[in-house]
Amino acid sequence: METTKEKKALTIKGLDKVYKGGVHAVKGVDFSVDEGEVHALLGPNGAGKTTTIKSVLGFINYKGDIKVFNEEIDVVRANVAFVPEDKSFYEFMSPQAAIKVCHRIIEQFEPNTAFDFMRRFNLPMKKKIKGFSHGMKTALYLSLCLAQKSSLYIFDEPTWGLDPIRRDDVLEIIRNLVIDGKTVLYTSHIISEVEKIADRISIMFDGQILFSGYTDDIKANYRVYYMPLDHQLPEQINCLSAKKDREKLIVLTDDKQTMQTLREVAETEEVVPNLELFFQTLLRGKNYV
Amino acid sequence: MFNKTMMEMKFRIIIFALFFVLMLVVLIVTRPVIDEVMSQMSIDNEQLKDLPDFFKDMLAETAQISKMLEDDQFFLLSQWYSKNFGQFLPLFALIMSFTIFAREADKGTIYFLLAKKNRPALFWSKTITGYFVVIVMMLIFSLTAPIAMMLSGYTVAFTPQLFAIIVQQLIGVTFFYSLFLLFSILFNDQIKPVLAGIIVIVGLPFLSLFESLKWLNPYPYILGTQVINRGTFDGLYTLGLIVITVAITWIGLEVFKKKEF
Amino acid sequence: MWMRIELRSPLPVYEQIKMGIKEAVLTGKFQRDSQIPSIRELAKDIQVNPNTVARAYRELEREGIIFSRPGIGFMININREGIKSQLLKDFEGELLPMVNRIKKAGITKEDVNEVIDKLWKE
Repeated sequence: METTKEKKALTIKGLDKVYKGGVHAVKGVDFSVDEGEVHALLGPNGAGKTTTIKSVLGFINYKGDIKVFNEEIDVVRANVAFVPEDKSFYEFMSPQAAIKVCHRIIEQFEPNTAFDFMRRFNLPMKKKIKGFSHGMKTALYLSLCLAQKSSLYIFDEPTWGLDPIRRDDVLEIIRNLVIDGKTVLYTSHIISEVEKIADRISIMFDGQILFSGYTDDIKANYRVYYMPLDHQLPEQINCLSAKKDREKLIVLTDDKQTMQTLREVAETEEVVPNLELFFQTLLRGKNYV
Repeated sequence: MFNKTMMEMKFRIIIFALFFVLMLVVLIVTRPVIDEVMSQMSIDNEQLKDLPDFFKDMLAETAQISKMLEDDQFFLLSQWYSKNFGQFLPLFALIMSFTIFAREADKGTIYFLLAKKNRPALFWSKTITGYFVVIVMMLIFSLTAPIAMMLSGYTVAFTPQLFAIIVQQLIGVTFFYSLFLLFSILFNDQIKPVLAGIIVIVGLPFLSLFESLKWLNPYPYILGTQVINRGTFDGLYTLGLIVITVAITWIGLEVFKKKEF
Repeated sequence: MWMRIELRSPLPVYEQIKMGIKEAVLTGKFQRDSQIPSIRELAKDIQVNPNTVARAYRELEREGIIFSRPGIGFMININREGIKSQLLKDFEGELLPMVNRIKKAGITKEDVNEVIDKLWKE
């Protein structure tokens, strides 16, 4: 798991996408994913996460530069496995039939692995997919995905709509992928899950990346300050986000100088932010630099 | 991909097979009936004298047709290929094609394929499989009819005209198939390709109303009118349709390559 | 569960793992030369990313708390006395924000000692 020089599984530079009809879904986004890393793309609905994923996989046209394992996606598709947000599969098939079909269509597909996962998820192997619940469809899709011998796994909302047990199963699966040296990029809006499983996170909002960095570094480097509402922030303050709510002025920063200054202010509370607090503060604040 | 496409088409293949077999059976069974009806319609010359001229002409024509229908081969060509079977071919092409791309987009299963296959590869595997199924079905249905008639004791043979009409119908079907496949690519739901297809099927004959546009209507070609009336194969039109089919297929590829999902 | 990760803790996950190992030595769960769970096992038990456990173990190795035996796994490299001073250093980091808050509120060290005495008895 330790690499002396991290190779990039994915690099995104200047990704920009305007849909027909004028929706500017992604506004100039940069981030990268190292090999062997679990990278979570966090953000509320409509932030542009799915658009980003679709661009990576070549489902839509876009401006910018995207490289997967330093190549164009078309060259390395066999090495990338994907679970979309819409986990629809062929309704007339049964899981058993689905395995057969995947075995024929996809190179490097291990039917036994798919079978094992499906049994672990308690899927009825001979029943038509048509009647499956969302949780079952997710389990099916994941099983088919994990049976592909890939290096990069991209999951779009893999735990959404799952009961707690299945959710734990999915997180367990992601952990095991890490142990096998695989790279995982996934999108989520469930923050508590992300905190324990993601090495790095990128927080996306309104088409932009507000933060991209190591999960551990957040607690190590950032502090949130709760200050009196009427406090005037000095102009030279350097912070990631600042906002006013009903009772307090809230500032998020990693700048040591700023922290020193803010600590001195009367009635100020300094808090080490967990991911939830970091996320909320970042999203709701405006950037005063 | 082939097996999966076959699984998806299973229902339609069976329905069409049953339908065409039924039509063929009905045709063969009613052959004697038609024979009798036609012979009853031929009137002797005595009665003809007293009738008005236009009526005489009409009866004369009917007499001519009935004479021809006595010929089993003519019956086969004009009633099966040029009528019962031929008329369904565009609809057959539409029903076999409209789901190929549109259903995947409609149901969201396209992402599964798009993630693992590049656009050209995906396009060709679906397109070629589709054509293969349709062409095989066409050949089987086309060749079954004369064989069935032979087995029923009628005098039919595999004449050059027969092969001419079969080839024309095959080319005609692939033309319609390519067009409807393009509709399947263009639209993201399954209803619009069907509507567009029906508009084409119903609208094309209207082109014959305009002298200058008559040649754009492929129905006479697909029904083998020239083969039946003059006994000749329409090579020029065949070439034209092949060129158009190839062009439409190429357009489909380019559209699919750039399409957003 | 002898180790638990608290998302509310001001410590990042890998720091909590390090603390957990150190505390386990102090409580006697592990002794010098005891084997600790593998990266894979621990990651599964506490449900965190194995990379995070790997980072914690790397740093513990660097600090001389554990060492790795190829083919066998990770073992404790230090005894209880050694751990104590290490832990105290770690606790300083955790206590600092609280101490600052208390100082700012104008509470004296003596007041704090009283509270600590009370809490210690519980």
